[in-house]
Amino acid sequence: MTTLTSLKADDLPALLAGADLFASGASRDDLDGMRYWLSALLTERDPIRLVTPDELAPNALCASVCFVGSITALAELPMTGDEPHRVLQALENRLGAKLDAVVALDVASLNALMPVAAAALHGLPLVDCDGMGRVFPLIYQTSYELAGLPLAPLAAVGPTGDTFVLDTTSSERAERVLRATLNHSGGWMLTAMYPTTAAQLATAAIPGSISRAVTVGRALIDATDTDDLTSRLQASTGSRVLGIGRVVELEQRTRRATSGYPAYPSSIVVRTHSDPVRSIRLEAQNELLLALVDGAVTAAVPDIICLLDPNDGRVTGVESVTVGSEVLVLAIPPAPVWRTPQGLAMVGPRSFGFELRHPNEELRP
Amino acid sequence: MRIGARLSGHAVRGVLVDGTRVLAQASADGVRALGAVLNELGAMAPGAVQSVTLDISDVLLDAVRRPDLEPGGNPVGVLRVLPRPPQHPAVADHPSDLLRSFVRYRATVAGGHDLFGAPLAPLDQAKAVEAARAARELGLGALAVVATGAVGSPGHESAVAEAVLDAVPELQVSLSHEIGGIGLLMRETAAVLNAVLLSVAGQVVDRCERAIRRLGNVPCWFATSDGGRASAERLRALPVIGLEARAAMTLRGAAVRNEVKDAVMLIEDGDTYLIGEVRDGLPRVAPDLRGTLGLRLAAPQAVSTVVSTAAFHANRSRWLHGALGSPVSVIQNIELDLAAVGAASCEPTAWLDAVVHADSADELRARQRTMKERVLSMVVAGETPPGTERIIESSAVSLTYIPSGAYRLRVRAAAGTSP
Repeated sequence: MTTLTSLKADDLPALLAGADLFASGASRDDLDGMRYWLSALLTERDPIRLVTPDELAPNALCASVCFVGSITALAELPMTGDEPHRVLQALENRLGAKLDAVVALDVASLNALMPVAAAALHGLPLVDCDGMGRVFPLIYQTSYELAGLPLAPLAAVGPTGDTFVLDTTSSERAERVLRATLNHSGGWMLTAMYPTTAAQLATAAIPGSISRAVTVGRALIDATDTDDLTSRLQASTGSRVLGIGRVVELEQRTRRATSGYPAYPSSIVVRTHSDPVRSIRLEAQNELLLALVDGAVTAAVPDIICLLDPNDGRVTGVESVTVGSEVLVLAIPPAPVWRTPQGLAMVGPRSFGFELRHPNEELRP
Repeated sequence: MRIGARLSGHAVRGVLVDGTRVLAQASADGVRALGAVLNELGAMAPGAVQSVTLDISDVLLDAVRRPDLEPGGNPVGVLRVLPRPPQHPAVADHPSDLLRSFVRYRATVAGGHDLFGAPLAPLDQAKAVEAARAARELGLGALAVVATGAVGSPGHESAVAEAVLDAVPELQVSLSHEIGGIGLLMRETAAVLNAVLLSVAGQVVDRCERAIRRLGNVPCWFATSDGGRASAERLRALPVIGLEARAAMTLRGAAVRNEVKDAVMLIEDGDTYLIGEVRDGLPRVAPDLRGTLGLRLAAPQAVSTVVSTAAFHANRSRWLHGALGSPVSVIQNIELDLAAVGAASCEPTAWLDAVVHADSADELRARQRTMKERVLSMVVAGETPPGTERIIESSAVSLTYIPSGAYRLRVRAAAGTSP
């Protein structure tokens, strides 16, 4: 993987393509307006400096920027363009200190772009790391949380300009209060949270996330056909293909909603084109959480399960899938931190309401 | 017995069909081509002609592609209704170069609703009128109005239209909720193209109606991008719904000719193949595709791919992924114009794409039922044989990352008998 030292407008298509893959089914392809705005921002300013935590002073103050809410709501009610700046200002005002760098909470879908916009508008470097290595539905399902870093104070700005700062000692409370606010804020909010030092990030963050998304995105963009695509992704992420087929069933509310998680669960059934024909059942709630091939669990959260269009290699989101869609089902290993007992306790299948172990969990002594 | 015809530049290709049988075809070139084709086909009809349906998508696309040559290419204004004004020029603008080329004036006024119908800001009607006057002073003839949340809550768009038409009656107004779909930019694209096309569509529809009158009192319809048809009045007001009709009509025509209802269609057209799919005789559609112009339009259009015959034969399995296990229907689109056949046989369709809230599975089913009833009532309004209306597609998708209970519902219906 190439480690980047800066981000320019030219890097955005690859960043977004890679970030779509790490969205584990929560990607969207209607971000044209956001991409256009960000491209203009990066064109009119100097390239964003991309740094590792070690390159910053140990006590450099950093904060994670994250879009929270529905991208469908954002497509209907776009940003005005000053939210990233306002949310960082709100957090700085609460902390009584200026930030030295911006961090991504996750580098998946839109959340790869928001920290870039914040860094550009606030004139700060962007740290090449994140707290998820993919996306999870709750804002505290992070490597920062595993490391014991406090999530709050949290600042949030909504589409009507409403701004709030939340102080709490409980990350779970922060999640609940923020999520409840979304329904009254227009469906989304831009947030800044996890104020940390660079030294803390050096041990708590998942390193190289921005560079990895750009590398993977280039593989997606440059692939000439499905075989080329899968071999490039295998080389850059260790991914494996679970099957290529057609969506034959799409069901809503197929199981009880897991308490505390947004959205209701759904299931997608793919009938493969292989001989013999296989049935891949995908369980989703915000992201794709579980893949069962002919009833056997072959991938489970925190594995990154994704759908791609086999014709053009584009990542397909759970909200875009319809019966009849052609899909390539792929599973990518998560960041190593999520394969630890503590990681699996936070984001393993059981934490999403599935009474089963992760396929790799049983191999542990 | 029905006539279908496709207008392309000054050329017209038409067919006379009876069910799945093509009884006659005719073509002509020149300013009076449509009249000539209709006369020829009408004279050959052994019985009364029940309807004429025209695919004018090529004419509409030409008007968009050559704005300097067509009267419909007049620049337009855009009025967005949002709770806060944009803070960066790129946010205020549209990402497409092509779309920006049509827009000479832009303004944002306060207002709009969220996806669930809650007002986000009071509508600033006075400023909307001010913006309309400014657009008119620049010599613009049409204004596209796009309010956030307008599909579920069209009140602010309607109020703007009323105030603008009252204050600046010479300005034509194109409202995004009348086209539908979720996504402000996609609806803006559709509303702008609609505004651009209003003038040329009006002229073309008038010309077509005059030509059809020679056949007597025969109903006149226009092919739409989702594989259905719309009345002359509807197309005059919403020409953008006919912009991508050709692929949909070609797929439908191919299904009629091959007498298949559910199949992957492989249509040879000179040195290219059009690949698409029909279900229940209608093309499979999606609402957010990039069409011929490379723009997402919010309104549904046929899911199709055009590939050169050489590229297709080099890797047949790549292009027919979806065909494994499904029948593939192969047909040529050379001697017989399949789009004209599709136009002759198409029936009214309707669709809705909306976000709803449901706290339980029962409530979700009730919401879906209500939406289906609404869509069915929309197709029944299209003068179809009673009892032929049916739901052909219905889906509910849980919206991600917002508190549970938000669903995006899409429903599509058709009426009439599939040949």
